[in-house]
Amino acid sequence: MQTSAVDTETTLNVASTAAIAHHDEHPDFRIFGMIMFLLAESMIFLGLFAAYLTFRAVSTLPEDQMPELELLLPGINTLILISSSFIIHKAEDSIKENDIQGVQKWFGISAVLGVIFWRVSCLNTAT
Amino acid sequence: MTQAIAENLPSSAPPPEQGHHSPTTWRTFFSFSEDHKVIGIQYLVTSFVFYLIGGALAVGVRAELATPEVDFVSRELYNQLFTVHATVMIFLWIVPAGTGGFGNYLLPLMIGARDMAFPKLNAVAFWMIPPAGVLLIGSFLVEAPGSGWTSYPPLSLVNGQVGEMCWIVSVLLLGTSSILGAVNFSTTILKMRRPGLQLTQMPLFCWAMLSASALILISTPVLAGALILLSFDLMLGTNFFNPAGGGEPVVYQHMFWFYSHPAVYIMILPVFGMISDILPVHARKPIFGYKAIAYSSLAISFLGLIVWAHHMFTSGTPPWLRMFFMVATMIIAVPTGIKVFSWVATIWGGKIRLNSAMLFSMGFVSMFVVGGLSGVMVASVPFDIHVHDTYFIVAHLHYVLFGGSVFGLYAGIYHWYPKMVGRMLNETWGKIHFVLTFVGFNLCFMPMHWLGLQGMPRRVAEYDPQFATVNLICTIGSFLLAISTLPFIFNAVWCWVKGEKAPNNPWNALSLEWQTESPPIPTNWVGEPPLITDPYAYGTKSGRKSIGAIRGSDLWAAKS
Ligand SMILES: [Cu+2]
Repeated sequence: MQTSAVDTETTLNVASTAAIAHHDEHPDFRIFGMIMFLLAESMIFLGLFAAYLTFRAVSTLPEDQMPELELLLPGINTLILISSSFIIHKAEDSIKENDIQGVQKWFGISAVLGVIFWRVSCLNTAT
Repeated sequence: MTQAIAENLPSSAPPPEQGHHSPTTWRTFFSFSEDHKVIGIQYLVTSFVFYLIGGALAVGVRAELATPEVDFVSRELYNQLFTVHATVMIFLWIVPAGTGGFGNYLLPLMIGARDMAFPKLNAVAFWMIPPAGVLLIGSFLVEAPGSGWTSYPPLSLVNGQVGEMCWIVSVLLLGTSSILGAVNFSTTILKMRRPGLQLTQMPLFCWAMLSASALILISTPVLAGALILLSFDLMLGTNFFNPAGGGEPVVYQHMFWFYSHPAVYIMILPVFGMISDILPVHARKPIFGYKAIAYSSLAISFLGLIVWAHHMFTSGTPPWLRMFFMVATMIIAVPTGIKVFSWVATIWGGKIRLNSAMLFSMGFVSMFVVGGLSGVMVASVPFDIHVHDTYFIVAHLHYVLFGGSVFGLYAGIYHWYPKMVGRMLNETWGKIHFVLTFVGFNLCFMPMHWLGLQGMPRRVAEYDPQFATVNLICTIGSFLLAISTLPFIFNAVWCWVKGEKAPNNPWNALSLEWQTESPPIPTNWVGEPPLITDPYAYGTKSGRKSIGAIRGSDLWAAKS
């Protein structure tokens, strides 16, 4: 057991302007909070993947009726989705550096990727 | 160990900084306030209103079951009553009250922060609850969901699209609110502690909230995924879960219970934390086994994630898998038992103040033990196959969620009401409330163990006439429970306006939330909050000395 519950001396000594300032500007933990949220969001996808694997494990469908996992088109689209984050990030960097041509280039690439993504999605649902 | 902070700093208390805060009036509670204390009370009052609605639905269920025939309501309405009852009690009462209500109110005060890490997000999370609740309960005007709170397909796919979609959207909203809350709680606990306060010096409620937040972040999204797929099956004719089109209902069950077993701990962990903080104060003794209680919360979190299929022992789960889930489930009794032993050891030989908060806390421990023991019973596969979907399960879950969570929430309200409102609750009415609740609860749910063992199935509006007498006893108990809320409502409302003014620290407690005014000012403390490194040093010499020395704002007033 610790000996002191409320150490009055320490407590009073801490009442410093520095410590107050720490509290009064509301501290910025947006990155940390975002990581927490992304952790939660990734659980949706993890759950869906697990559900798919469970389905394959427990399904009583005969082998020839088992739905096949399409890999090519969704794979392309997944790549586009992930790379678009980096491309937008690049565009943002260009904005910060006042590089207008850079912004146009990166936004242009992301627009092209968007069109490809949309076409691939159409193909995918059509089949 | 306590001398953690630099000592060469000036010791004058800073001036109060309240300029930009408007005073808290009743209007504040209807506004988009970002003050964690206002949001905490908003959560508590809102969820209590939903508790009363859920209780009214339960009375409807029990009125139907007073006789073996279908007479009071139709079979269809009966299904809707128990479906919405369970959904309201879980998603609109216990989860928001335990995490959102007490978590918001207490966490910043306990760790010496001015507010939560993300105040605006906090308000957004709260304001998602009223529309979700209105949607769920308002569905009775059109078509209420009636597939049980589990909403298993294929039943939920054939029971009416409107009611089912109301249920899905409502639960998705509430789940999102819960996730946003958990982002806030975890960030606040890990990042916003007063400088110098270590994790192992926090009140145990903070540990419990950290564990519950982890569970929310990990498991709630999986439920969201399941509900999205279910709504596709329902509205777009996909066949993820619909066996008619080759889907697998068992996949839904896995996803559903991956959330809904941890949900039990989301509902009970904050209450575990509150009990750990209430017992030492009113027994005037240090908590027994601080670290054991703190770490067992984390252990429960982890184990809680790997036991979900114990709800599916009769769903065609293969024997080897049932074996794993049976053993894992029984192991949870270990960290839970550690807590119960620690609580008993804490009050053992204490100088107990037997007030309403303490009565409900001790009611919690005893009733939760009953629910926990029947939990170990149903964890065992052979026994569970016998009682699956019978009233034994209804009895078990109510001993955990009512005898456990609700008793604990009441204990928390009696304990922290003076801090929240600045006025004392009336003790006589509190004791009447406790006796009525305790008697009504046991009268209603204890006989259900027997009904279940005799094979009475749950979720059916009619039953074998041989169970008539015992069911009537249960119904009388439920009416008594309904009546038992009246003295509480009267007490809480009356004392809010006319109650005796509460001192800053009416229980002579050592934890940080009591070392400021009642109710606290918007910035929680005038000046820097005290550094309290052992909030449980009751009955020790230093504890006695320090409690005389520190009285919240007096301390600062005297110093400046
Ligand atoms: Cu469970």
